Amino acid sequence: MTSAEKRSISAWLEASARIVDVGDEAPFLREARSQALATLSGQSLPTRRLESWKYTSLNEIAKIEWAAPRGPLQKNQELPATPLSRQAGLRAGLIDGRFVTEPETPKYQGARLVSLSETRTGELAPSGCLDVLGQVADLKRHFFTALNTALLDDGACLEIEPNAQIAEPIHLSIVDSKSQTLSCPRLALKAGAGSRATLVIEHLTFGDGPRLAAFVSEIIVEPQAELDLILVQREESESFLASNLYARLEQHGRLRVHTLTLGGRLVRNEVVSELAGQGAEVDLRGLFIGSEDRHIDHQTTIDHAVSHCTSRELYKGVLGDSSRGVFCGRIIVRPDAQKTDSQQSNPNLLLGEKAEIDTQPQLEIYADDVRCSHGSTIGRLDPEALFYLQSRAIGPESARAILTRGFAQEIVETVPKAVGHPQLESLIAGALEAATAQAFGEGP
Amino acid sequence: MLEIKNLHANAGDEPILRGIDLEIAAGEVHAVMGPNGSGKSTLSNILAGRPGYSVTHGEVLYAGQDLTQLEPEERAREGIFLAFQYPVEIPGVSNNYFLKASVNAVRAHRGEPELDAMEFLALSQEKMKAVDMPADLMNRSINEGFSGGEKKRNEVLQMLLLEPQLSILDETDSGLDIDALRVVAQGVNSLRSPDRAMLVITHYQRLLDYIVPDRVHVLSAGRIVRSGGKDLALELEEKGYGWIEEASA
Ligand SMILES: Nc1ncnc2c1ncn2[C@@H]1O[C@H](COP(=O)(O)OP(=O)(O)O)[C@@H](O)[C@H]1O
Ligand SMILES: [Mg+2]
Repeated sequence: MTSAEKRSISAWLEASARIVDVGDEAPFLREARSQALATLSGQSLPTRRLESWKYTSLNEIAKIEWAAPRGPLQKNQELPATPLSRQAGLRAGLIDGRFVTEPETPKYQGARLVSLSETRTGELAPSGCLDVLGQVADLKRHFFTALNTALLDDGACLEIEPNAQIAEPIHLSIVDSKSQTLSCPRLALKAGAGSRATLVIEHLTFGDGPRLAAFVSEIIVEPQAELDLILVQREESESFLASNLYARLEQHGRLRVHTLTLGGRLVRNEVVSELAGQGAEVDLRGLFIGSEDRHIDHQTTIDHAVSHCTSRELYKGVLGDSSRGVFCGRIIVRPDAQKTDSQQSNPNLLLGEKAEIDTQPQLEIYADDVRCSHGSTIGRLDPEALFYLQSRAIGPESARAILTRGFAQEIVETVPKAVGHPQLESLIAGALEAATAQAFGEGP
Repeated sequence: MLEIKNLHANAGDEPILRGIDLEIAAGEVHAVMGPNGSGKSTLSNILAGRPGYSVTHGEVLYAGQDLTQLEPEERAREGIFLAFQYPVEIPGVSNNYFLKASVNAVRAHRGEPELDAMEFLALSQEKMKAVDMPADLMNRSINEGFSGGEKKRNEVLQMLLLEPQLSILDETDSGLDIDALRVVAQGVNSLRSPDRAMLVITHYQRLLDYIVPDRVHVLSAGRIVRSGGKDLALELEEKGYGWIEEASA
């Protein structure tokens, strides 16, 4: 089959069932793919009849015919530079799923960022990534993870060496460059014991036309390692993104994920983290900003498998126009997970008359000595705060803009400084402007 | 500067002010005292234009114009300032950003050039010294996690930065220790001038030892039941509000 061939997703599924391996695959990859193919056989795109897709319709995706870019990478692909990537030390990209690096990658102390296809031919063989790939993701539960795995032939492997302390952010751009194209970017990441690092994953699209990215990341945070992930989702307005992130945290491992959803037509985020070692801490923070009729869906699962783990979760939504948000926060506390300390909160700001949010916690607690709290709010701007600013000579339009930025700022504050706060703030300001243009356009 | 004539006003749907007459000329400081619930904050909210408070009868003129026609931000630009009894906490918005936006909104209205970051820094540092405010409060979110005293200092700082024509202080002294009280009073006194006026609302006489008023009014159940010179405050302190309420009953 050629890379230009376009099919509906269901036709892709049928075709992929017939894809036999391309020959040079390492056995582990062949196995992962054949499992994914088996899982997908007879399946189609999830529909709203499924509980986990109740609020999100994939009809638009089903209607489009997609090309899936396989085969060799085009020559001279360049990594796009962005304000965020300029803050990075080590960087690479997945362009239409294909690993691209800078022409001359300097040797980097403490971290290796290489192509999955290199891994697979065994040339560099960062063994760490082989422990991760296919080991953390849940093929059975998540359609787009199965799809990604079935079509997998490249990706990024990031290995942070044990005890490496990397202050500069590492940057991975995920670029969808072609219209009407399905890409399956993949990341395997191992944060070695006692290491400390920050990875920025920035989603971009270039040009017009719909794109569909089924992005899967798998992460293992080894004992005492500390990892910061910043997902910056800022695709163009015709893009579809399913981002499925799976993390396993070992003893005293710490993971903080900031998911900033600033663009895209439909974005579905699955974040699944398993607290598998005592003393592990996960902190999930999200900011999602909707304008026009964009749709942003967050599904998170925090699985407290053992005792003495901590989880924090704060997702903030700003929804303008007729945009729609979904937040479903599942927290599982297994029978052994005594002394669990878990907090979840999802405050939302509805700015558009027709904007909507569906928010629900889902607590499954099977241990008794635990502290779990959760809460969500849906509101408009605080009239007291608005009056306070106005009483200080600030006009209502500016006052609303200031308060909305203030609402979002809480999420930015915890991003490591080295990522570039001014850069992030300006991206967020752009998204907020779009979300508030109509709502605040005419002041009273 | 301020003329209030037979003012009746509601808080929500409740009639609270029942016929207030009050005139404050430029250069004067007036104190309004009264028991809790007598309508002191309602009066200050009416003057500042807080939503939810409405004039049902009478007039409020500021510099000759009908104040009730102006939006809150227009009143502020025209030189009215209310120091809130309960300053609002606003997470995520730095005090520094807020105050600069505020000062520049007033300057723009006056046709003065906006201050840039450096100019504002110099100005704010000078005024912060005057209210004895720790520097880090500028980089924190507005009033978030501030102590009671810090919030009140922040109000006075804003007043000093905006240099209003008419300052209304709503129980700025409540809950302050004596040092903080002095700082607040110094700030207020430093603004006193022949072309500015002040309305100092307080529950206790104590503040008036430091801010000596030209006139004192006693508010009870939405009416000014007594007016006099600064000695009225002392008399009130001595005899308590019961005395006024009985006298006016
Ligand atoms: N927004 C409101 N809606 C209804 N009643 C109010 C409102 N604000 C104040 N009140 C009532 O008005 C009365 C006067 O309150 P206030 O002006 O705050 O008094 P003071 O400041 O003198 O203590 C009180 O009985 C209070 O409960
Ligand atoms: Mg009061």
